[in-house]
Amino acid sequence: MPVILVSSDNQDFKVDKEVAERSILIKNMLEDVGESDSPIPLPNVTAAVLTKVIEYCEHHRNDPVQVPEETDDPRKRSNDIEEWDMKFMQVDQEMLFEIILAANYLDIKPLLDVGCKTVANIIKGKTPEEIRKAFNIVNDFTPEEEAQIKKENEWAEDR
Amino acid sequence: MTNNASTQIFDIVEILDLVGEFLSPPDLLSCCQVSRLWNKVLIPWLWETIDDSRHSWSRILARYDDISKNNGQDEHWVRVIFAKYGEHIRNLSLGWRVLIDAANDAHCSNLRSLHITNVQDKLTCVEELGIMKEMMKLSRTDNPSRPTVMGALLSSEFEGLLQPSSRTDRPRNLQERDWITGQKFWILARRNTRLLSLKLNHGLGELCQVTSDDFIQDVVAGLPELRELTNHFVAGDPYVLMNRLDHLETLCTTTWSDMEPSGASGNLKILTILELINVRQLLVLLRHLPGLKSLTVKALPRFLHEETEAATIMNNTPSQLRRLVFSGFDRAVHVGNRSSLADVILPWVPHLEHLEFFQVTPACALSILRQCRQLKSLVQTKDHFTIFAKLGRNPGHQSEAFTTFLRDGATLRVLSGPRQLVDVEEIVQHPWSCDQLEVLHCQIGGVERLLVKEEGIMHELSTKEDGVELLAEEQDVVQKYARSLHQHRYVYLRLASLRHLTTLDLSYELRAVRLANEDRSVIIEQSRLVSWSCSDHRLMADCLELTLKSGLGLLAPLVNLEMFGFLGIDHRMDKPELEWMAVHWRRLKVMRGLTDDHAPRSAHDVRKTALREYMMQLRPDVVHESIISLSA
Repeated sequence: MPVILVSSDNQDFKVDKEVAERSILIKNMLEDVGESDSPIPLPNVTAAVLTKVIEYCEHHRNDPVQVPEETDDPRKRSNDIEEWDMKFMQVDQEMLFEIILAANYLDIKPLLDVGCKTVANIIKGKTPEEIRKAFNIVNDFTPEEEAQIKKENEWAEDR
Repeated sequence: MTNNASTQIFDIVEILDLVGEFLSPPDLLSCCQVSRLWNKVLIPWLWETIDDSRHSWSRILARYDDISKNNGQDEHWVRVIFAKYGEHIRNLSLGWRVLIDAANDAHCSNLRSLHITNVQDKLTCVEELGIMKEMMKLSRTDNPSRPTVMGALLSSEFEGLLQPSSRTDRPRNLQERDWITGQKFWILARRNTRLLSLKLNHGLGELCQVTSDDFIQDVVAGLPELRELTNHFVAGDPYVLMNRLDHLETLCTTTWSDMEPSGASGNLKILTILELINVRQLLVLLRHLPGLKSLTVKALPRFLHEETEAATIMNNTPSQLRRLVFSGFDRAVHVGNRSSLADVILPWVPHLEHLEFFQVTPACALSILRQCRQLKSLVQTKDHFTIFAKLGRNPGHQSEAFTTFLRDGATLRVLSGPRQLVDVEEIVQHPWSCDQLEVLHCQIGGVERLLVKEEGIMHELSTKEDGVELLAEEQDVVQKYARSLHQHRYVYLRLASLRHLTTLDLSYELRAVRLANEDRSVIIEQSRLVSWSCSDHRLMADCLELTLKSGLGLLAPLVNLEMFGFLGIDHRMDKPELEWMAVHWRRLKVMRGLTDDHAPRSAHDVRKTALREYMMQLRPDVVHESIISLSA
């Protein structure tokens, strides 16, 4: 049975229940409501972003449900992004952030992970100033504080 | 949603936190300097894992002088940062004494893993060497029964269990310090009661010694969540240890027990024993560790009359073992290993999927395939002799066994025997059934190849008109060429039938390669061989040619190939061959064969360098691996 999702700008999206339930938020909503064909409003997601999110969920509709891993082992954390996801994430930064926010709101953990990995890849190899510039962040450290952090953690440099 | 997500996104701490999970320490360090919020969120990630063998730790800790000079700036820095950030550390891997002290003094108590590696000083190697020389001089002239160092006992609980190590090669003041550091390590281990992983290297013995087996057992018994224990440090009955540690899943130990345990320990999944055990011990442990999935032992010694006992020991119940590794390569030990493996052990491990060994006999190989119907992967134990090392014996000594796997290993996905030499005639005569293979690594030898002189004759013949009568010598060359083509064709066809191959490594051992001389076989050193290349007209290696002329194009069905290795092969490859590979093997990621010029003791090979550069133009996405990256 299809589910109707309504974006913040009032566009309707008809998707399979199985696809919609990739979002834990929607899954829980559907379970709470029971059998109902009333549309589900998503006031935090625009049509443009919802289109992307649905594209992701369609592609991953048959993925096994992610089990939260009990591992504390940092070596098991992988930075790899599979090929399709990589292409999917080739969007401008504004859209990337919108997707991450939507994944966070809709509770789609695998999409949130892929988004955060993409952000991590943007950060990789950049200096603090380059990171600030890339994300438009204001430096609220004094030069002395910044120097101290660098000094205290100079062990983390690779050279 | 606002019209600017980027100002909003990093205000959500959870998202920034999630990004931190995917960053490495150098990038985390940059992030921590970005802003106060970023610092607050990401410092715990930066300090989550401290491994003093990585990043700049060694560089920083090694540049300061001997602590006895007491300028200790660095030590001060280490203590300050550990006191400030130590609470964030979850994984701690240490070798530097000063960090052990600092971690303990900072009361780090949130550790999930604690690994002690080779213990190191703040002393530089040169200083250490100087001290060693000094101490050796002393020990020769000194009273040999030099009294051991005495020092403060930091906890009364250590009384009678720990004592200073008695080393003659270290100055007394440093030994006194070691004793304190050693005790601090054990205090640290005992304080972190939620440890999941504890690794004790034997280097710990340089700091202090444990005088009672009970000590280590009491320590680990106080770590109820421990899943993983590596113990290269103290002896003790592992069965007793396992009885006290219900949750233990992984154990690596240097000692093993002769005793038969009273009960079963069901949780242990991975066991590594770095010593020789006998067949009986092995069966006993399989019986008493019913949850065991992976077992690594050094090797099996010769068994005596134990096969009749096996059913009794195993209580007629097969083990669930999936992985069995014999990590040693001692040939003398291995002679006994063959039959004990096939006749006594294999019947009890029917679920085996992965088997690693140094060498097996053909009979044993057949037995392996018959008894382990779920076998997916057969690997020759990695050893440092493998390729391009000096070794006085002929490679591929027992490759008949390997041929058996090719012929009959229908379930196999991985077949890796870098030292195994498969004779080309075997390949011509016997079809393979291993068509599920994804990884194949072996050498192919015994191939007839034209000598340079003979190639010249062939070339002349090709320009001659048809119908001209050939000289006897020319007829021989023509026949030899036909035989060579025939052999190559069969090799290519067999390989091409392995459609699932992702890795094909045919690397050939140069160091003692058999060369067919005109009169007899000779052994040539690798150093000579590399420079020999095509210049010696009388000699020809018996490996494949790997040219389009020899039929390389038959390998076109291997579309899944990601790695192709041909180190050491006198392959006669040229630009057309590389062009062919670049087009037909679209998934190729790694090539191992155009980097021989990095080989130890070998001359720079200009031709190979040029070929490599050409391939890098054709396919910039293909990485060229060298022997150096092999041994890493």
